[in-house]
Amino acid sequence: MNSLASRFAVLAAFLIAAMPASANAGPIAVKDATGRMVEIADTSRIVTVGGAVTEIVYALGFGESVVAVDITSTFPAAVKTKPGVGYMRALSPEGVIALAPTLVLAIEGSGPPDAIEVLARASIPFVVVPEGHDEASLLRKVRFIAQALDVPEKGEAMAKEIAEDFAAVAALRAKISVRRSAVFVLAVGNGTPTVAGEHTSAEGIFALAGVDNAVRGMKGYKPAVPEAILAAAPQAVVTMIERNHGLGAEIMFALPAFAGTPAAKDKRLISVPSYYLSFGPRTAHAAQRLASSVYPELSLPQLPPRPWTVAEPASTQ
Amino acid sequence: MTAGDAALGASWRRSGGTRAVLGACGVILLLAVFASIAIGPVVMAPERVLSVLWNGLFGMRGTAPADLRDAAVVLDIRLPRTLLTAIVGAALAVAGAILQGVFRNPLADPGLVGISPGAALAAVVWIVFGGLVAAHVPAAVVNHALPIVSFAGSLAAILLLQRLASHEGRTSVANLLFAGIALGALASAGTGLIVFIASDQQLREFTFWTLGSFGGSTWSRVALALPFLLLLFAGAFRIARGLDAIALGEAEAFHSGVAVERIKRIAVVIVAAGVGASVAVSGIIGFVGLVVPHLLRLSIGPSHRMLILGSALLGAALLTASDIFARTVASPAELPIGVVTAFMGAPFFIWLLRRHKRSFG
Amino acid sequence: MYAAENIRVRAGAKNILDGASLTLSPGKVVAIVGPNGAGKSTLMKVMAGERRFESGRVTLDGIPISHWDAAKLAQRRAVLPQSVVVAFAFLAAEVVALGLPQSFPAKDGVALVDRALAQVDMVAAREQSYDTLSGGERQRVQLARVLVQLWASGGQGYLLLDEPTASLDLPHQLATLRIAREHAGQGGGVLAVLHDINLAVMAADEIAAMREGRVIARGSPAEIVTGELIHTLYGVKARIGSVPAGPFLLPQHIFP
Repeated sequence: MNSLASRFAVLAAFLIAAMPASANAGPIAVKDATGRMVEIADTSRIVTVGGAVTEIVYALGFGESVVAVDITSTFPAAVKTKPGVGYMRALSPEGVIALAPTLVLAIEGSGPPDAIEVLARASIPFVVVPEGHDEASLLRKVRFIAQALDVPEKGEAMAKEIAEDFAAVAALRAKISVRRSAVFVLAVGNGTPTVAGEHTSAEGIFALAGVDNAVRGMKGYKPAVPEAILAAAPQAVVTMIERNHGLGAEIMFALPAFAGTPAAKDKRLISVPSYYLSFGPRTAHAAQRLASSVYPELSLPQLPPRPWTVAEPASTQ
Repeated sequence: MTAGDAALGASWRRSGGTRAVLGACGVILLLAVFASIAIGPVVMAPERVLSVLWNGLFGMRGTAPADLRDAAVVLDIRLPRTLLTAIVGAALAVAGAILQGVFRNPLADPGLVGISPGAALAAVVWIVFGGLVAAHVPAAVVNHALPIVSFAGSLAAILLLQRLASHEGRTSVANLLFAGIALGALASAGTGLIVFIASDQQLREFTFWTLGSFGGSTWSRVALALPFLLLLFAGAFRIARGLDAIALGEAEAFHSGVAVERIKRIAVVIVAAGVGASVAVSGIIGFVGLVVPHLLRLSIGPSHRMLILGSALLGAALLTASDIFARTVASPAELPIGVVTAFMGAPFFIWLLRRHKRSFG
Repeated sequence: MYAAENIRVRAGAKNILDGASLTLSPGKVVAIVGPNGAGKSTLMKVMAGERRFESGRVTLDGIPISHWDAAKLAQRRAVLPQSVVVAFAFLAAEVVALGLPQSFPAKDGVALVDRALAQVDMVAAREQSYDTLSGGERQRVQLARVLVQLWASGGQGYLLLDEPTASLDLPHQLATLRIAREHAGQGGGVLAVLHDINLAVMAADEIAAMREGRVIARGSPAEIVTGELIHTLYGVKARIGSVPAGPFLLPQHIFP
């Protein structure tokens, strides 16, 4: 009897020691963005879908457990070596099943719905993370993911720091007395630039950085008549590092669309990485960098670096 | 047994041996179907696949996580995909055979002569505007109406093609191809316009329409397309004999007792149904309708009853095999299947053009 | 009875047929002769039910031609066009079998096809691809096809032949006309557009001479083939002899 009890104690001690620090004893249940209750028993093999989801999962310390990501997940650098599960809206269900994940964390809008249904049938916990493109939804995202991973206190700490960053950005915006306008150029093909109109993610980061979108009366990313850009008189031109193939200020401002703009006069060409266009934990920092590039004379203070912003490629001017 | 049947067709010797060729097509199809169900990123032994299929037949999926997983993979992912690929392959090949019979022209392929692009344009217009105009209409309705809308698009394209390409019941190869190019250009111009209006998400779906994919195959898609494709197959056998007579010329077919206008009307409707539904569930997949009937005519002859049966078998086998290739060659990513069929079909088309250069003049 | 009465067909401002009339009856071979553009082929197409006409009347067995459906009509008359291009590589025997109605028993069909191929001396080409045959051979295969079409419904009915001898050599020209005569001998009716007056005289019970969209003369060869008619039709001077059995013509010179 005695020896049996002591053996049990040894086994129990061994099991507890073998358990990952974050894992709780029992499964936890989460109500996801679609309203389904999903039971999560094991977070040892996670598939993340959506750039912000991936960043938050890494920031919460679960990077080691991530087995695959979608193609919108490009940060931190470690994800580049992970297998891909394709584009978030066109997930291949069998590709996901083949990875034998114990948890799929996918941003709202991932799909197709049939794929999610099939994954549910294959008894793979598929949790849809609520989406939203403002500060409040970002904080909700962080807390939600932390809860799903059973580390609510870590999530609370992260949310608090992100909220501070956004407050700091709001304080920066208050320092801007005369707002400047900018045009976001997605691509330049044959001299006709594809620019960001109203209701775009570029306009979103502009607003956070206290910059007006010079392009009005057009929705979405569309090729624009060069004259219309001239008429809009942007004071800065923002492009994407990944897209402009080293197109320097000289070449850019030689194009008829930009040659006569105030931006050309001040040689204000700002290249930003593509994550500036997605809403995630690094967004406040992105807004600060964009604002200090557009308003260099204000010497806006930097935000404190956070664990989830390190290894970020520097924006260039 | 009637004169149009196999007994008569087989009375005259062909080098291939009609029955042997059709039998071989059937065997290839069975192998391709099984391979398609057995191969995928989740590795499973063939006997495991068979037992999951067998149990699934009786609605048994098991309870263990591994059983549920394998059941989902085989029954919910691979089976509907394989089935959809096979029936779309059969439909495209049969539609090609019928189109060629009606136009008396071996180059009529639904993709090449603008019918599939017409269907795709209708589908894209519907996706963008159907959702826009009827914002309160649920997405399910938009999706269910899709095959009907593509059907209308392909029907319009065929009728236009007949108008443009045929003169007094005769269609020259040049006219057919010119009219097809014009229609295709018109359809892609229209689609380009839609792209300009479309949202980013709709844009992503655009490659689906232009290059085809079976990536999103589900049982509901199979159910959506099946009635249209059955209409094609049922109608095809009814007009097979009439198409044989039309090979003599429309006047001669009428002389020999065929109601030519009726046959042509049926052909137009069923081809539109088959191509429209195929495009609705899998996008534009070219060249299947060109390659398959041509290969079969070389081996079993042009008699349409056998040609249609053979086209259904070989078309299904060819597209199923192409899909296996498309989803394994760059796994886990997927090649658009239209790219695979185009790489097979385009060189074939060029060869065909060269071979017929003189007679096409 | 198979009759066309007072048929008028216009194409643009021109009357292709301008009141043409013709009657066929069982047991008789009727030949249409006349210069190019006289409307011979058009009249045949009108009678076949293929071509619409502005005015006049075509009846078969007393029923207007437009009231017949294609399948029923095919049992009562068969048409041999001038030349037929077959779209795909059908075998000669398969082309002949296209003459069979859709619901014909397969076994009897094969026998009929073989018999017809024998009639036109094409048994050897049975399993050859139609598109590899010469023009004359194709014409004979097509003749076999229309024979099979009438045989399949009892062998009676009317045979409409549009220049059936045009691409044939002499022995096959004679053989074709013999087939036409045999068909009439078995109670069928024949209408043949012929260019060769001598062949027409040899084969026909009645000759219809056409000019400018009208049948200007009808009657037995002996009655109507005269130097005067030949001159009216063709503007050619000819002397009509009657040495062998019936009349024949010897053109006097090539140019009018």
